[in-house]
Amino acid sequence: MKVQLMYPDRHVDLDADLPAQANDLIADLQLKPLIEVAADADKLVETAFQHALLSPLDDIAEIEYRQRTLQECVEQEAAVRQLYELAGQALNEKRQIMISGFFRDRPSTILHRGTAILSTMLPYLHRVRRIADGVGRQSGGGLDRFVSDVLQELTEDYFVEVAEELRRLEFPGGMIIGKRLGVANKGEEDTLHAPAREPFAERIGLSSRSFSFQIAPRDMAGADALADLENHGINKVADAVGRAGDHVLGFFTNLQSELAFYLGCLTLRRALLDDDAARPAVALCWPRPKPVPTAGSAPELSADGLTNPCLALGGTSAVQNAIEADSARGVIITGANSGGKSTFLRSLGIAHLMMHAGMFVCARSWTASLRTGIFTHFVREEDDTMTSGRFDEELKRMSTIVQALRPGGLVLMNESFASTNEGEGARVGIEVLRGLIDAGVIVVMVTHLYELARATQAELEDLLFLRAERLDDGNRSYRMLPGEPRPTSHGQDIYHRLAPWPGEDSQPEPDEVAEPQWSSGRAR
Amino acid sequence: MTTSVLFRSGAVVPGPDNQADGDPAYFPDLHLDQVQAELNRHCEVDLTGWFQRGLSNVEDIGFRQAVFADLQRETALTTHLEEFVQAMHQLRGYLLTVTKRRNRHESDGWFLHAVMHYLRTVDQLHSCLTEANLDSPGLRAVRDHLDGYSQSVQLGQLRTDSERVERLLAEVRYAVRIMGSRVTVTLDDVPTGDFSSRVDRVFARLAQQETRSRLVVYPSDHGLSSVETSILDRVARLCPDTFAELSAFAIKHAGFADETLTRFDSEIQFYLAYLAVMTGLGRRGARFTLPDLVVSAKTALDDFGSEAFDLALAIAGDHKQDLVSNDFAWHGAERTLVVSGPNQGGKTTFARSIGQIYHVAALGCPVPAARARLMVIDGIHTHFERMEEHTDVGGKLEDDLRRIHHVLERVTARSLVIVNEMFTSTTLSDAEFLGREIIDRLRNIGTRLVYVTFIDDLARLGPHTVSMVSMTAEDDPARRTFQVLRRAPGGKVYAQAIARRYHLSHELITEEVLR
Repeated sequence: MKVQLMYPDRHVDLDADLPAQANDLIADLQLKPLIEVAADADKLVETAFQHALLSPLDDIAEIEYRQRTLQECVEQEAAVRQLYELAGQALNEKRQIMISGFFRDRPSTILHRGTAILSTMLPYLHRVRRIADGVGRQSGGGLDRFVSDVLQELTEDYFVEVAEELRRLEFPGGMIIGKRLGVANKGEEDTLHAPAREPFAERIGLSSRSFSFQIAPRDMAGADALADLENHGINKVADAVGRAGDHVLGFFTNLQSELAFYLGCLTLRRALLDDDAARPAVALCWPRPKPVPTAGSAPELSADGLTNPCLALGGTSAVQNAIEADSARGVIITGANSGGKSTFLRSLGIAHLMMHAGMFVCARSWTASLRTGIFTHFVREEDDTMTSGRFDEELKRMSTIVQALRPGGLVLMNESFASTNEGEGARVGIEVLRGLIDAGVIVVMVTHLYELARATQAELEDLLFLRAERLDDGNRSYRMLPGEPRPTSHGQDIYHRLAPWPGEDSQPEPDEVAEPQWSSGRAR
Repeated sequence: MTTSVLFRSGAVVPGPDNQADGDPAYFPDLHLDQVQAELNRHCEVDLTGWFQRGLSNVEDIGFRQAVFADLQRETALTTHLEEFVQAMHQLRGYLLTVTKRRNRHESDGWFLHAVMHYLRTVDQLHSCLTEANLDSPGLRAVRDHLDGYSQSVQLGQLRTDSERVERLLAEVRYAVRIMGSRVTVTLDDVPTGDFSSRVDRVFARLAQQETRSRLVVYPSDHGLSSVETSILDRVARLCPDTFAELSAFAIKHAGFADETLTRFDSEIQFYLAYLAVMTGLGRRGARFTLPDLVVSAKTALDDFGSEAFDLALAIAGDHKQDLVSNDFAWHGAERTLVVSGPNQGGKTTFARSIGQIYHVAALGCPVPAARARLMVIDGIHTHFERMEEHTDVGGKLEDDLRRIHHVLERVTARSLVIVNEMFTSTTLSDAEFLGREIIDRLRNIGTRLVYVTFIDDLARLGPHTVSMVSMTAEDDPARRTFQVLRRAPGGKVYAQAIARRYHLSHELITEEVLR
């Protein structure tokens, strides 16, 4: 009766290492708000959700298994929440039994504690059964498998059998241990006879002679030796009971940690669909993952109505963008400052992560090749000082990314190579882009470096060029439209951003927020 | 006649702890005391006596080289011999236990266990020696001994007797019931199922991932407790004939171990310990070789060692530089290697490595070098700066001269002398004069001399001196390379330094991602 909601063939391991770039992804894609909403102040949900989001699945069947399971959870939200709470309560009881550690315990202690755990957990298993009774057949995802397992295994007969076994483990008729002579005639290969009602002599055979002796009441060493003998005898049964206890606890631990991710998804889903003034609704869809492109096949990437969920969760009406980058080996995004380029780049990254995690994606439609790894290379501060230290740091990060990349990987670059002068940045940048693209890495790069963008246009093939739209009135629509890089006039842009200027007619405040203004503490 | 793998038959055969004249004086100077300590860490017997006694007869040395050659070629044999040594160690432990246990049935049980272990050990040793391709007379003699011993009546009797008693004991089944403080022992003739497997079965349904075993692991070599001996006494009363047989067996076969195998056990450890140290260093890239031995003392020398390294430094350290290797050679009329160059540049290490090579070669061991041809020498003499401070400068100089005088009295054309920074307590011109005198005199005797000095001019004394210089990096004179090369004193070496930045060129990136 395994709980395998996250993977079709294994348990989730929340202690497994995240990819080395996980922290960069959280910082660069600004994932914290997303994770906080999903977690709703539950530490375990936060861990599980973050872990899944940053541990991309690389197999379409596994992604579809999660999608199906998540769909089932959406349909059975109440039962899912009940199961999660029940597992938490059961594990809470456990803490009361297991005060001390397990190491160096004697078999008698292990046996005693094991039976205590099993007795305590039995009622909780009963309740799991009752919840499962209320959930009908599902669509063959993880929840469906779990429910049918419970219905099949946790039967009334089984509960009776377990209770009976727990009574025997009290050894009402003394312990009978079968032995043979081992090294130096020490008794070994202990076989514990099953406790039964008949007297010892009858069970062993009346024909045998027997010799008895008694440990004297004050013989402490003798009493210890006798306890040792007993412990040797019950070692195996204590192991069996101890592990049985572990299994039951493992069942609830797994149930809790495997459900935690889905619970986070359910909470996030409600928050995104919930349409109120403070938090506009966002379109959600099931993504269509495609295989990693091979030498013969082109990479795919197309989306419609793509938004950055963090903006919506922060209360900003999220701009919807479309992208058609099928068979493009790279995307170069240029255009006005504060034009929504970074936000768009992040929405691409977040959608990739959510697709790889088996979640819904914040778009009306989303189709993309699976990536062999997702990396971000973002300028670290909005700081244009050209110090060699910063350029060094940038290249060092890039070098680390290159070492981790494989063909079919995705690198999102935000203003890379901008910490040196434009000519040098362009020369280094074009080398890097050419190297990555030749190796089959997909690059999406936001840059204000006209030199670099122009060089990519002149020297590299199969690139898609997008530009942040600027309306005729100088304002930004935050939409990315196909368009070639243009030399930009920073001065004008900044001048306009700082408007109104004193000495002009008063104008309405431009209603723009470049970065999500996140207010934590909001829930559900 | 004694069968030995360390000494040719007919030679005097000292044991490992037979130390004729204590530490050779050069041991601390050459750090051979450290090597010796490391070897002793790798084995149970104390190898000191064997490790300190160089052989001066080429046939004695060849006898051991042949054993080393066998062991280096037949690696499976070496592994088996290590197991043999381990097994003999264990045997001694068992026999000690036999004498320590007070309960007769328990003590007899240990005796039987020791015998079974011994029989297996003999069989394994015999078969591994038979399977191996042996060229060395040393190992062949042991094999021949075993051929005879395995067929002996004595061993055959030991085997059949022990097997019978073991079979009888194996048939005993008994049951113990514990009811409060009362213990009842009876023969167990109604086998029932194991309760734990039933419990396992019932709870298997709840199985999740693999759980950690809750089995408590009890050390298996523990003696019997008071309760267990009480139980054993009652089992013996339930099976009187079986235990009578066991007791008779222990009396009949006391003192069963073969003396030659006991001797082989300690002698082979000399080889195994040395090979173990070699293997450990080999994993870090160190190379050893069995040197070609030259017997006749010709006027034209032809000794060399290539890629020689300091064995003690290699053992002590785990840095790359601890394995720096250098070449040395005496060709034709060359007698003196004058080693100069910057401090801490590896001069002393280089000199030590040469001394070590001649010493271990005289033991018949592979030497720390990739290739070597060496003359069989009659002794090694060293003169290293003494650690103790002399308050009286004149006293130290006099002491230096007395010591080197003592050396000069004893050396021959077949000796090796290693001098390290002598006469540092006097003026430069004094030191140069004295150094020149010592070098000339040793040259006249014909002795090989390694002379480590800070006086460059000593390296220009004519065709019999070879100047060797510890080098610094070409691009950074502050960085030592620990290379010691044949160079005119004060010369420069051209090393290249390549600065690689971030590997971010088009080709390197593509290569890295596609790797």
